[in-house]
Parts: sequence; structure tokens; C-alpha cells
Amino acid sequence: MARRKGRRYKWTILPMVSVPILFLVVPIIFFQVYFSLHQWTAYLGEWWQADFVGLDNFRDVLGESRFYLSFLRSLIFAGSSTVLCLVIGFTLAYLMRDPFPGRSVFYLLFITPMLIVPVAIGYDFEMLLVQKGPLNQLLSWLAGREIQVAWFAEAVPAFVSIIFIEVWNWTPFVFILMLAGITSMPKEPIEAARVLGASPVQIFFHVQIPLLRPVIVLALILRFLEALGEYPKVWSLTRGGPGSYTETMPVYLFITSWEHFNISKGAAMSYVVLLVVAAIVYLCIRLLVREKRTLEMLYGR
Amino acid sequence: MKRWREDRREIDRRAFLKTAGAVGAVAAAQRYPHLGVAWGASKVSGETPEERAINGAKALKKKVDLNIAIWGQYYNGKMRELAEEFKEKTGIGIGTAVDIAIFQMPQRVMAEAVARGKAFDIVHVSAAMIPTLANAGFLQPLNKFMERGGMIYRSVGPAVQQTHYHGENYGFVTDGNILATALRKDLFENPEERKRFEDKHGKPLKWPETWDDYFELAKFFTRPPDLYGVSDLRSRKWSAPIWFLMMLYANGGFPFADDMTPTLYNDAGRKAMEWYVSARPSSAKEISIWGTTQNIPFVAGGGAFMWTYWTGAFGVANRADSKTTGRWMYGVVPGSRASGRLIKRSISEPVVSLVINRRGQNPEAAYWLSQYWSTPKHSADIVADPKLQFHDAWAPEHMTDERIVKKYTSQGIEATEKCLEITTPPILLPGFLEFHDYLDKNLADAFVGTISGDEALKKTEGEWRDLIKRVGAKVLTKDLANYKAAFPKIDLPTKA
Repeated sequence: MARRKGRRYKWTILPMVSVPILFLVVPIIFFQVYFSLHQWTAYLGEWWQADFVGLDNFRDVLGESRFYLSFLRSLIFAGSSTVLCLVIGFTLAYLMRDPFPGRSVFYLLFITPMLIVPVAIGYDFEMLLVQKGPLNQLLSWLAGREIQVAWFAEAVPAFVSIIFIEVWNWTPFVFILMLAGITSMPKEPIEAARVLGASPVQIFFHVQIPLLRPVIVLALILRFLEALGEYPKVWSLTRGGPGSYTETMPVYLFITSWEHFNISKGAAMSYVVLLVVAAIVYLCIRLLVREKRTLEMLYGR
Repeated sequence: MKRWREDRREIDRRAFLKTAGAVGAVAAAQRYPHLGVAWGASKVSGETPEERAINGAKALKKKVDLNIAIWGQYYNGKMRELAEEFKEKTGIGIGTAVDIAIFQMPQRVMAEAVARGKAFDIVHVSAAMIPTLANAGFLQPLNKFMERGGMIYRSVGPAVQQTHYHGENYGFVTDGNILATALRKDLFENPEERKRFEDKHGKPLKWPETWDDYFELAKFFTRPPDLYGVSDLRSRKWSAPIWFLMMLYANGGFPFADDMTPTLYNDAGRKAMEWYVSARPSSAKEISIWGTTQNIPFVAGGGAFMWTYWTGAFGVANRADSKTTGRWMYGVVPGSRASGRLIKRSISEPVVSLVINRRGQNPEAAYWLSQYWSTPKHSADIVADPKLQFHDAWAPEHMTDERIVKKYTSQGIEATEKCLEITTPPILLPGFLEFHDYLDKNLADAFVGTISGDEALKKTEGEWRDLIKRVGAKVLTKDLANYKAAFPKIDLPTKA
């Protein structure tokens, strides 16, 4: 009886699911497919009159060095910022795992960067990192000699700067996830290890880290995907420059679709990106499932 | 797409509607002859274009709250006051002003064009977007309205040609954005500096007549970290290609052959690239990333000896709170002798103009307000407003207006006028932003040294070829005449 009720209940959510699918997902997918297979440049006529070009747009995208370079930059940007976010976020969360006086103040301070609008972060850091700005002044004071790094005007400093700003912005997110994971860890395995004579370092690496692995993997996946799509800070800070050293995938996608108004190429490009990201997500999900199974084997359900 | 553009004989929906509309109009004119009085060739009464704008708007007998997309830096002071005044007199005014920065405006207005949106009645955008927007079917043609309103619309030199496309006017300039050259008078006239220069170069220190002279001066006055020789923009997305184009045009070059084959990799292009890149050792390191918001305070603060810049910025560098007030002298941009004679070319971009959405709630109402803002008298009021630093002088009437002369200084306004006489457009073709982006990116890469100047030129040519193929060479070839019409017919300013 209860099972039958459950089935009936499932049907009640059908309208709520089907309406967005019908009116949002389907049209978007249809238009994306349509645009990627037709040549439509927004100022050259109506989209329904665009010529069918088959896979030409995909060939264009895949034969273009600018696309590969921007994608590579995005991967480096997302990969390095994710790892740094994890290391810093985990450290902060680990330090905050036990209650202490003023913990809530620290908590509030740590999560503040995540609450600021990305464009505002861009402008704030532009002022902080200008050649004669506060950061260089601080570094000069610490070093005892004049330091004049042009943070956004040279290739490596510019790329490092945008990674650093991304880390500053999104470490709080990893911090929150890791803190939730650490505080909800079961106490029994840790107690058992301690009783068996394990040192704190051994407990950390052999008990706590394995227990936290699903949370770590989840944080890595979410952060990586978010960083791969980062646009507002890079655009407001460097607009892809100097030269094209910071032209990441989202920046190039924006330029293609909304400066070149080459909607078809933009659609094809976004499909290529989607496929790569889907492959990454698939691998990550497999990893998560494996982690879950390992944990279940170790500690039961 | 190309077929759609090139084969105009096909009967498409628009052509059908046009024909049906014309037949309907003839039928309506026969049935209701009095309507013809309002829409015929008869001019709106009034002594001045301002009065005619008011009378034209009053004749609509409607209260309309128009929506305008404009950057807040522009929509302020006198421009806002005039809109309010117009509303009081006619009932037509601005309901909502959506604040969008000028460099984001093309994307926003194209989104409206694609969506056939009615969100904006008037848009304040670079005139270089007019060919693109006209092809997207967004713009209201203005010739008939201008004829009825007896509009007086003229610039010094060919700047207003940028708002025209195939014989039709689509906008009114409010910001001429001409480039002129300014240098530090205190250093230039300093006897010690003059002697040092003469000793080093074996010739007297003179106003730079060519870009070679310009960068020679820049090199001489580069004394980092306190003083750099030059401070012209070289970063992406800040119109850096206009400095290159100005040099290319002065060399007698033009980006395309008559059949739209790109023509950058030649003597004129290579020389322009050489000059463009040679600014690097004489500029602050951050010039490769600066926009105007960083550059103006830097120059006003005494960081640079010289710049070729939008004339409106000269006023900022001369304000009471500037460290260099009164220390500037102004003149015509340098030129080139590459073609065997001295040719000087300035450039106007973005020539920010009011354009009207033909799908807006009431294009005629939007027109009358635009006319009211853009008449010689009122455009002078706007340019003269000390609160407004972004509306730069462009019309003949601005050159003699005492308030504007005071704002620019007499030497500054003279330089503005001379540069306007020899001004040129950016790439005035459909797809302007895409043409510019390829050039912009490759110039930026060449400037920071990722690729050589030659590579940048060849790469741009290749990317342009693909774009021309996509848009259609035949279509663009026809548009070349429009692009060329915005060029001056003289080599040097006529004023001595």
C-alpha cells in the first residue's frame, strides 16, 4: 500500500519537472544544436534563414589555435586555483575544528571573500595590485628595497595574480565544505586508532584523510567546474591581456558570441567545452562512487 | 546567410511587408488625405531646430516616457537638464536611463537587436556600430525626420559621416572623440632640455611633425620611474587599434583592397606596426594593461611628457586639481612622409552617437528629443558643461563657443579643430567589433612581444580573410564606399 502511494506521489512531481524541461532545457538544447549546425552571425539576417553548414563550425573551432590556448589557460587556471583553495581551505577548517573563544568571528572573516560580488573583487584588486599600489609598497617595506612588480602588465605575474585572486575569492567555499566534513566525521575510528597507539600524524593521514576523501573529492569537483567557468574577475581585471596571456575559455567564448556576434561558432565552441567538462565530471563521479564504496567497505553503512 | 544577403531579388518576409505597407499607405492617403499633412514633406514650423524639435514633438499629442541606454558619465548635467526641459515643454522625455558603460554598449544593443527588443528607444553607442546595427535591422533611418525637423547637423571635417550608412543618417553625434597631441610645455620650452636635445640629436627641439619625430621625443624624455616619454593606450579593449590605424592611414595605407583583400602586410602596415610597438620602451610598463581610467590620472599627475589622446582628457589634465595644470601645449597629431609627402591623419572613435530603435515605443518621439539634444546650440551647451568631461567638441559651432574655448584652452580647441579636419574612421564596416578584435589581440600580442609585428599583421590578415568570407566579400565591397566616405580629402589641416 505504502509503495503504491509512493508511486502516485512520484507522478505529482511530473509537471514540476516537465515544465522546465519542456520550456527551458529543450529550447536551449534545440537552439544550441541548431546554431552550431548553421552559420548565423547576428547582424547578417534572421536566425531561421541561416545556412546549414553541417559540422563546419566544429571544424573551425577545433582547427583554431586561439581556442586551444584559451582552453589550456582555463585548465591551468582552474587546476591550480582548485588545488590551492583545497590546501588553504582544508588547513583553515582543520584549525577551526574544535570550538575556541572567538571562533564565530574567524568563521565570519573566512567566509567574507565568498560573499563579495566578483566584479567588485576585480576592481578592488586592480587598485591593490597597481604598480605603485599598496601591495608593492608593503612588499618594499618588508624587503627593505623598492619593489615595483607590474602585476597585470607581465605574462607570469598577470596569470599568477588572477589565480591568487580566484583562490582568495573561493577558498571560503572549500573551507565551509571541509569544516562540515571534519566536524561530522565519526569519532569511533579515531578513538580506536588512538587506543591502538597511533600517533596524531598517523591518525591524520591514515584515518581522518580517508574518511574525508569523499568530501575532498566533492570540493575538488565543484571548485574545478566553477573555476573553469570564471569570467567576471578576469574580464574586469585584464580583459584577456596583457597580449592574450589571460584570455581564458569563458573570455574567448564571450568575445566570439558577443563581440564577433558569431553565435554559431560560440554554440559549437560551447559544445566542445561541454563534452570535455562532461568527461571530467563523469570521471569525478566515478571517483566519488569508488570513494563511497571504499568507505562502506571500511566502516559499513 | 551570404545568399540571404546577396540575393536581394528573393521575396522575403521583410520585402513582402514593405510592399504591403507601401500599398496600405497609398490606400490610406486616398482615404484619409489629412494624414498626409503630418507625414508629407512639409517641414515642422519653428525658427530654430530646437523650436522645430519642440513643435514636432507637440504635434504628436502624446506623453511618452522614453527609455535610453547611456553611460552615466554622459547622461548628466546639461544633457539631463535638456531632457527635463523638453519633457516640460512637450510631455516627451526620459522615463528610464539605463546606465551601461560605453565599451559594453555594443553587446547590449546587439542583444536587443537580436531579440527584436523594445527595452530601449534611444541608445548612445559608437557610430562604428551603425553598419552592424543597420544590417541587424535595429536602427531607425533619420533622413526624413531630419528633413521635416530642419535639423542642422554638421561637423568640422568628415566625423559625422560615421553616422551615415548608404546615404541614410542613423544617428547624432554627442561626443566627437577626436585624437590630438599634447605635450608638456614646461619641459618642451625649458632651455636646458632644448640644449640637451640639440646636443644629442644635432637639431632643434620641435613639435613632432611625423611619428618618427614623436617617438624620438618620447625616447628623449623617458626618465623612469618619474617621467615617461609617451602615454598612449596599448591595452586590449580600450580602442588601441585606433592608434595603429591612424599611423597606417598616414602612411597612405588602407586595411583593404577594393575587392576586400586585407592589405596590412605591406610597407604602410609594417611602418605603422614599427611605430606602434616602439612606444613600449618610452611608456610605463603598465600601459599594456591600462585603460583611460588609469592613464588620465597618470598623465595629469605628471607621469608622461606627451600623449596623443581624446581631447576631452586634456581638460582633465588641466583641471585645478591636476598636478600639471597650465603646463600643456596642444597641436595636431604627427603624420608620415612614407608616401612621399607629409600626410597627417587623426582618428575619431568612438564617435558616440544617439541612435533610435525602430521597434521602440515611439521612434518619432525619440527622434524629436534626439534632435533637441543635438542641434548646434544644444550640443555646444552639452560640450561646454564643466560637469561633463566625456562629450568632446566636434561641430563648427563648438570651435567658437567661448565656454568651450575656455574649457579646452584656445590652443586646445585649435588643435581639436585641425585634427577634426583630417580625422578618419575606424573600420567602418558591418562586423566592426570582430575586425577590431582580431587586430586588437594581435597588436597587443606584438606589443608585449609574444609574436613579432610581421606575424601580427599576417595573422590579422588571415583572420580577416575568414571573416570576410563569412560576411560576404561582395556585400563588404559595396560597404567600402561608405567607409571611404568618412575620410578627409586633404593631407594636412587647412588652417595654418
